[in-house]
Amino acid sequence: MKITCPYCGERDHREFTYRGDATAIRPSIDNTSLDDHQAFVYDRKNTAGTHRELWNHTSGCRTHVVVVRDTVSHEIFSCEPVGPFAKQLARNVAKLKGAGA
Amino acid sequence: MSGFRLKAAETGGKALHFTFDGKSFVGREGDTLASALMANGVSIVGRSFKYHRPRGIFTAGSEEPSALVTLRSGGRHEPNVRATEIELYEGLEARSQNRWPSVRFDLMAVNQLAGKAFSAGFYYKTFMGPRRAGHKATQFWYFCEQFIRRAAGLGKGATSADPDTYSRMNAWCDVLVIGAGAAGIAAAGRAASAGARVIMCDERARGGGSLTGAPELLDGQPAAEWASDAMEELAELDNVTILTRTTVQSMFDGDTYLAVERVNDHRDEPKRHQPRQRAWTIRAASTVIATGAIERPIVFAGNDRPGVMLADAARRYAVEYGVAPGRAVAVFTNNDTGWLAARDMARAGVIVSAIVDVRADVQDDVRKAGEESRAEIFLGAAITGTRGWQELQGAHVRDFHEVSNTLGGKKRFIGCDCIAVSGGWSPAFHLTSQQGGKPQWDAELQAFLPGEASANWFGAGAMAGKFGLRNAFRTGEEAAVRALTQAGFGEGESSVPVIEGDAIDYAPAPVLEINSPGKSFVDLQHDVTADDVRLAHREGFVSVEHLKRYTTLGMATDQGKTSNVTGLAIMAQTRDMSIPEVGTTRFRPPYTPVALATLAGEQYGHLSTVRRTPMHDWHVANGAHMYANGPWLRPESYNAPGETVEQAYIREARKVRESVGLVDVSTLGKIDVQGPDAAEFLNRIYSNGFAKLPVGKARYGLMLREDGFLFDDGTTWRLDEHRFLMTTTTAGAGHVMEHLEYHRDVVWPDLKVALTSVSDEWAGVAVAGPKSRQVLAACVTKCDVSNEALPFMGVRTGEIVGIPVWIARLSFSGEMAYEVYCGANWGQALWDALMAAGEKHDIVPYGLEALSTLRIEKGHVAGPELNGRTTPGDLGLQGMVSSKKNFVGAVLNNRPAMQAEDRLQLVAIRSIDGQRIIGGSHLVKGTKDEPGLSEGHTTSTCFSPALNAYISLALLERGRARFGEKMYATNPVRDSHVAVEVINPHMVDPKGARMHG
Amino acid sequence: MAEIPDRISPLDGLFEPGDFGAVTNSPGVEYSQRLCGALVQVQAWPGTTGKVEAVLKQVLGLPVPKARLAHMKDETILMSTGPGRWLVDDEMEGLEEKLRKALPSDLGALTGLTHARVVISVSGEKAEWVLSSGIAMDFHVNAFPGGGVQLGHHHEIGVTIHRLGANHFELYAFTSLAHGLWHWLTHAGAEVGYRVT
Repeated sequence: MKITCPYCGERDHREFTYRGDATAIRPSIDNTSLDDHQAFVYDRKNTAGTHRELWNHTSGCRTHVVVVRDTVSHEIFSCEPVGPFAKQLARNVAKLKGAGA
Repeated sequence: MSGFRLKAAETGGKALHFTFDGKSFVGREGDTLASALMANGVSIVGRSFKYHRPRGIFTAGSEEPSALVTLRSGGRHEPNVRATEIELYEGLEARSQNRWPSVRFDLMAVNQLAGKAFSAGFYYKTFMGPRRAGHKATQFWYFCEQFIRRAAGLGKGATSADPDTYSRMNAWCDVLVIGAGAAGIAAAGRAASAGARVIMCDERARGGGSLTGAPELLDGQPAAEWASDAMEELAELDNVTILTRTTVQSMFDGDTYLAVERVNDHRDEPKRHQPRQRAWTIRAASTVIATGAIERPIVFAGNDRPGVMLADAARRYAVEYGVAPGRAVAVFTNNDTGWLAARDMARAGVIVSAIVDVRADVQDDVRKAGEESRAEIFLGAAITGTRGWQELQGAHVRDFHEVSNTLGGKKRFIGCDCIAVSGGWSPAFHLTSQQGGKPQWDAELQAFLPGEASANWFGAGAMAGKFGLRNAFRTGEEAAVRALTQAGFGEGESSVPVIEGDAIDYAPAPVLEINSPGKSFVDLQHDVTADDVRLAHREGFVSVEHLKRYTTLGMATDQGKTSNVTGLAIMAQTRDMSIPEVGTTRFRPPYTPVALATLAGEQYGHLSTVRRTPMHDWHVANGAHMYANGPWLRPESYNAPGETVEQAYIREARKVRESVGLVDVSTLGKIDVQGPDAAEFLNRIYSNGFAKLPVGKARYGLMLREDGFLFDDGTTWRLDEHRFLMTTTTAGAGHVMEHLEYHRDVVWPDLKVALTSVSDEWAGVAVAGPKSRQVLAACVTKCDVSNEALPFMGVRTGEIVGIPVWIARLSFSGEMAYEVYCGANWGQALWDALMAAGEKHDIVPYGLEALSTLRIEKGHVAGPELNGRTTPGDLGLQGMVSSKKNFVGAVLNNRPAMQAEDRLQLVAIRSIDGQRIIGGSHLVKGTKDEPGLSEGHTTSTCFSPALNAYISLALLERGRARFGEKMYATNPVRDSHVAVEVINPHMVDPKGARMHG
Repeated sequence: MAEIPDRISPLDGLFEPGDFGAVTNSPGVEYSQRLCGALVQVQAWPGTTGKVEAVLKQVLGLPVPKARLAHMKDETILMSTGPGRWLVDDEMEGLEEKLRKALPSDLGALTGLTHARVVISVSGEKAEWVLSSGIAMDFHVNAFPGGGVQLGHHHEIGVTIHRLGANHFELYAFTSLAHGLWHWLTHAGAEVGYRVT
């Protein structure tokens, strides 16, 4: 499998560390809802097909990237820097039930 | 079979001497071991897996199921090598396998007399039962196993270390061409002409594929000569890399391929400084797969007798190697290629006694080829059995009706010592199948074709079902054009040669088995017969996946390259279905067996990943045994002559408590945390507060995982307002760094924090013991180390012999202690200076064992307690979990089960009667014979010089409420049952007076 | 006051000048090592990249390279090693202090890595071949041109590679791992012959 790091270019996937489902919404540490945290840590989908996920280019520039990958064929559709995505994620985090608590 | 070197080929080629089963033979340059054995009339080269039936040479390539031998001896001993693939070299030493006492006379061959008992599913039926005491079938297995292990199998592994090296290589290209036959050469030429970077691989020593022995003329030149010129021209191009003796073994995701180059397998020993094999990882933008096709047999009774081989292999031995496969060769075929093989063999000087074709009629061209071979022709006939004991003497032929698949007429006998059989061709699409490409059945070709491309590959030539040279060149170039487009290149230039030669039909008659009495073998390597396939069907194992596992068809080292389609055809017929309805199994990587050494490459021994501290050489020179702690090597203890590790660490630990010692702590993970938001960042990461840590102070911190369990610990020093130095456990450094980066990049992108690993920048030495301050005072300048100026947990800068240092007053041992850090290149100089300053206090270096002993005595936790299943509460560190702030892991750490009273809690245990406590013991109440349930277990064990007893930290249910209780530390595996007392883990100086002093 | 002791390279004791392996007329590859006078990592915050670039340009007198490139002048090499991240290799000591004065922490971060790396030079006709045998990276000059900087890995351990010319590379190796990297280079170099200078 090859991943095209936005900074380093096309590299072997062994240079990257998988950091999990990018669509799972991690509650903020200020959110004290047990349900929200429980859902984030334990209730994960096991998607067969197109999946948005986080990787860290640990043996390269060490930046995080958002990869869209088919978990069945392992085809990679895109690989973007995490920055803009993290901002989007922050908006979703704010929408969680326990976020206002 | 009694093969021999053909007259026309007797001269030329250097003579090469070799031995087989200790007997000396002469072959010649250009031979494979198989052709050389054949030229010397050796017909039996091995014994089959189950029945120990004699086996001969069946093919002329990597698909060989039968002729497996053991090569070389000592550390270079290599079992299960295909004799058809190994190139002969001077002094080659080979032995037959799976026979006793000899390959011609094998006592285990009695197995075949019990053939019915060893039928499909034999093991399951005879031995498998529920795993419980008294079950007869399973017990019977334990009794029989030793005999069966001896009776069944292939070659034995080497027992001494391999002296050779193995290397790896990474390669990138625009177009990868797999196979250097006609289609491959065409594709590589076309791709190269467009300026693409091309890599072409071929498993044989020279490219050319089927051109090597083809009768056609190309541009008026003999095919072999044309191929050799074409390969040379390609090799001269800057943008082409040709890898011969290189098998592309596996296709992975993202157009990544594993190829194994046999750099020196054609030599007795590798050339000096060269590896034996090289594993190539090739990453291609696009790929042309031109791997050709593999001939398959027609199955008939007695078809495993040495002398029965594939027709094209027999032809190649005659034409390419100048070896007659027998004195009289009978050809048995269901297609035209068998006739051409007969003709080409006859042209080379081989006597072809008969051509037997299941078809009632053939076209004129083909008939003419048969006439040229001067063989007796049997049309609408089939071989129904063979005669001979160990060697083939002849075959029975009967009339055969192709449409009704029935035999008729009188049995006739034909004399022959070789039957060259052709059941048609199966495209070699193993690589695409590995990637899940679903094969498509072609009824006309009676073959599976690779089907739709699932990645950027394009099939060409016989691999894609396009047989014949004209098709090969045409489709090779077409595939190259598609590959070029994929890789972003122009179309390049065409250069197809003019071809003169046979135009034949490759479609066979749909006959793959002649059903007549006697054992008909489908899978020669695993002894699977046609009847086994039918038996599997009767017993309900009808799906191809079940058929494969129940009969082991296609599960041998050859993965059924020559047997799969035949097996499927028999199952289809039995189920009264078509072959595509029955389906096919998926090929798995690698294509041929690969040695583990090849995959390991150079990454072992002194070339594996090892981290050394700057003081490594000093430790070794001073008696330290170096101990692997993750990738790091650390001194275990510094052993005086004659001293055991235990004696050494007890001496070292005692010295630290009495006077002073020093230990290399350079291996601790160190992370530079910088920026205006660094304090806020740490405050969110650690479970205890860091926001208000003053500059010049260190604090011990705990990190939780997001699920609330303990993750890592360490001290973090505030160097200035916006700059911290975080230390982590040695083993946890990498994970902690990723944890921090993740939170910075993904969770809190608004925080201005820079994270840099500085583990390699700083050498670290801990000086511990009541005299540690005096040692520092004697060598440190520009820093006041008095208790007032440098209090407990204080951090200061200074100099030692002119080297700038950071000094932090921290204690892992419970003694007064300091950690001194300096630039790694000065690490040894710092160590020397501290040793010199401590000389008058009799300073000792101490290793990992003493370091552990000291912290166990003090009740400090480390890796064995931070095992991923413990919480701060479990380890008595609940006080470090802030309730005044939010941090990673806080919410889930608060779950009731995480805070429950009946969890395993940190305690210490002390041996009551002086017996040693063994690591990994369980804490129980019962006797040695009836220990009862485990109530906990030991984590870190040592002999404590301070307590003068064997002690251990342990995790025990409700442990903190059980101090004073008597229990046993039991370890049945190591026969140990020690009476212990549960005690408070803070065994030495619980008030901390010594480290604060 | 005592003279400050010499810095010791992690390769000292292993590093033996001479020709080794399959050297016929000339070695396929040549190795040498050096320690940096100063090696400093500079990181900008999101939004301060331009300002940090201006500081670098002013202090070093070098134009700031684009992604995956390096600029050199006299004894200074400025390498781009990540988004908003640079590595400055200077033959003189004191670079960290000089930069720290010009770069307040609200603009970015500075980390001294002078002791954390040893620089191994790999040059010669077979340099690409030798490096390809252990580092999964396309070393073809089209993919990795002269003046380029790539972050690769060997045995899962990162290494920063600066290509000075067609056949000349410098590897910034982790100090604690330099031994292993060196063993690999000599193992791989033996096949084509290597010279240690």
